[in-house]
Amino acid sequence: MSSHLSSGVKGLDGILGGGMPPGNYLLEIEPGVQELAFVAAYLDEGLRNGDFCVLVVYDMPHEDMIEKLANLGLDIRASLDSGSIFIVDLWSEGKYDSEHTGPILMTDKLSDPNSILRLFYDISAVDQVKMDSGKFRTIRIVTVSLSSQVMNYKFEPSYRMDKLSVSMIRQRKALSLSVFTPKMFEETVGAALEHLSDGVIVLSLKEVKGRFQRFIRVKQSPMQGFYSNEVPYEIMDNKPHLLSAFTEPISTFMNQLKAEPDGSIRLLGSRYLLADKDFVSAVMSYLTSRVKVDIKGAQEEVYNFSKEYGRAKFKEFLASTNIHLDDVDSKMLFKMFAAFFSASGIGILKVENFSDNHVSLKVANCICGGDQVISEAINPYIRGAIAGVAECLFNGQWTCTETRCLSDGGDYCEFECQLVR
Amino acid sequence: MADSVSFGIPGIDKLIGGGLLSGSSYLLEVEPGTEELAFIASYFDEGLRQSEVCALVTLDMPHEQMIEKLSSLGVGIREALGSGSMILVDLWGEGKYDPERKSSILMTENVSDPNSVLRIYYDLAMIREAKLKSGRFHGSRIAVCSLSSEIMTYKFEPTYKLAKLGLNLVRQGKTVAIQVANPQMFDETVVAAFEHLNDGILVLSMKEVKGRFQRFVRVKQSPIFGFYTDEVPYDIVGNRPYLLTPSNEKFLNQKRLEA
Repeated sequence: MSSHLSSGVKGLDGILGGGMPPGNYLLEIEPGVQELAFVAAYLDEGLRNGDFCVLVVYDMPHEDMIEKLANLGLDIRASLDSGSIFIVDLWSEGKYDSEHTGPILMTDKLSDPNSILRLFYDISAVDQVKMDSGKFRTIRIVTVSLSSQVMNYKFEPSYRMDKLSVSMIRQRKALSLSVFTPKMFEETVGAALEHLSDGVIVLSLKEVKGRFQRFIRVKQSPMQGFYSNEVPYEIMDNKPHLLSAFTEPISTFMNQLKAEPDGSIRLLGSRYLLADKDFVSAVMSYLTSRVKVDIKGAQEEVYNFSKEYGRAKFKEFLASTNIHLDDVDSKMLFKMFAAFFSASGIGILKVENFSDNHVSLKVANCICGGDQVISEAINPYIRGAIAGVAECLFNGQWTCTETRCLSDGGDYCEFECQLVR
Repeated sequence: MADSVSFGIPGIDKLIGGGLLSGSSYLLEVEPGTEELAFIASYFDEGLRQSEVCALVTLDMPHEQMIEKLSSLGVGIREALGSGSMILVDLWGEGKYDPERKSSILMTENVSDPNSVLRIYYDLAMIREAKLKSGRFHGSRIAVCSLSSEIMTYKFEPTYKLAKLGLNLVRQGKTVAIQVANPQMFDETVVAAFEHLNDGILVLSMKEVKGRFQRFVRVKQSPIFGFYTDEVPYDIVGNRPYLLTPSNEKFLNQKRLEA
């Protein structure tokens, strides 16, 4: 786990399974997703942590790229001078510098794939020198964009170039992120490039109930077992922010599960099996979880586990908002309650009615999706989280039960919270 | 039931009608995020457990990385390579050709030439024969990771020829083979041709169901007569695929009844 690097985007590391192991990642984008904010965060993270960064630019001259990044709050000029970042400008033709004395590499034969190949070998040589100097932690590459590369050199030469660069990345244990617009090409092109990548991250812009929202999804992670559902994000202060409080805890929860050789599953440290050998039905994967817990004790354990999580995560959430519970009225409390769960991806939550010792909640678009198996499975998990947050907000000991489920028909799930003492 | 061996994943054997049929080749159709390597890890786990000769052809990455990946998934590949129960064919990088076949890792000096790959495949078959004759092993299993890279490297027709030859070698011995391929990378005709060549087809997919993504496995074709299945959801737990099918058995019984 120690070799994992951060993407620089809060929350993204969580849905990737705990960061980015070295390898090559594809960032699939479409217009309006503001991919440069991700690129800036990624480079910023690298420069801050002593990585040697390589920025390969196909979409615009390097001067424009430097300016764009500066507008996003990342001024790389000092880093260029100090030699901790190199730019490879493949937009404009320029004098080829075989000695690599400057931080900006160009070629005088831009249209020839072989000259690009030569440049790639040069970068690899530079990488080697930089790493040998002992000044850098690792190599962090970003390509903006692979789409332009494919447009310039056609698919096959481009595929060969990528294969070569993947070889280099693997040899050097470097981290590489390539921006790519799949809609520009036939599906087979995107699939081939995905196949070459260790991880695939998809940014999209979608209409949800008449409003457009940006989403991020981990389609493939080099971390075994990890992928994510779509998580909404916003660009705030030029930086991407994932609107999900639960991205981390659920992937962490996944790590608590252990598959036994006979095919059953156990919660680490628990004496209960969550599923037995023949009646296989117990897995929680990230947010698509389906756990059917047929042993009451185990169910209780999942509930308690989740309650702790809910509590801890909500405290974190509060800390990030600078709101003190003592300063707000009860109406505001319930608003925060709802906002937290909506952001967590559990569903759109509405507080129906409440008193000092009782809260009833309606959850539309619940993650159970109306599927009975998933619903039964995930039930202790959601109930636990709700109870945990309720305890955090209203003090005392709370329990939560599900009184109505999407899978019984109807448009929402309903949960009741009760103060025990 | 004909001679069949276990895939190594609880639940999968039932789906394909009792196990992988000896002398058969299976196409494993994947897409990004389906974690096919977890299937391959289970496949070899089982092979090593059952004392089979295991061979892995790697075209997606150098053998060092493949060894690292499988080790991190809990497969005792280093020990197996050392003891000779596992053979790795590295067709990603070029390497010294070892005509004596002393090493457990086979490479060729001319990786871009299909003929040199052909030679390696024959070598692999010879090694398998020798190992099986030694009496230490009960069978053999092969995996190709991945056929997609093979097609990208050698183009469709040469790869088809290579696969055809490989298939012959599989059918001759007590061998099962799995070829991993991503069908989205190719025209439908290419995929259809390779599906045609293989005895069984397993499809892994990732689908949006009611706004959520879920992984699924489906048996499109099984050499065991009469078997195919609908999509069965799975997850990766503890680095291994885990079929989420409480009613596997019930489902198949129903299929049999319908038939």
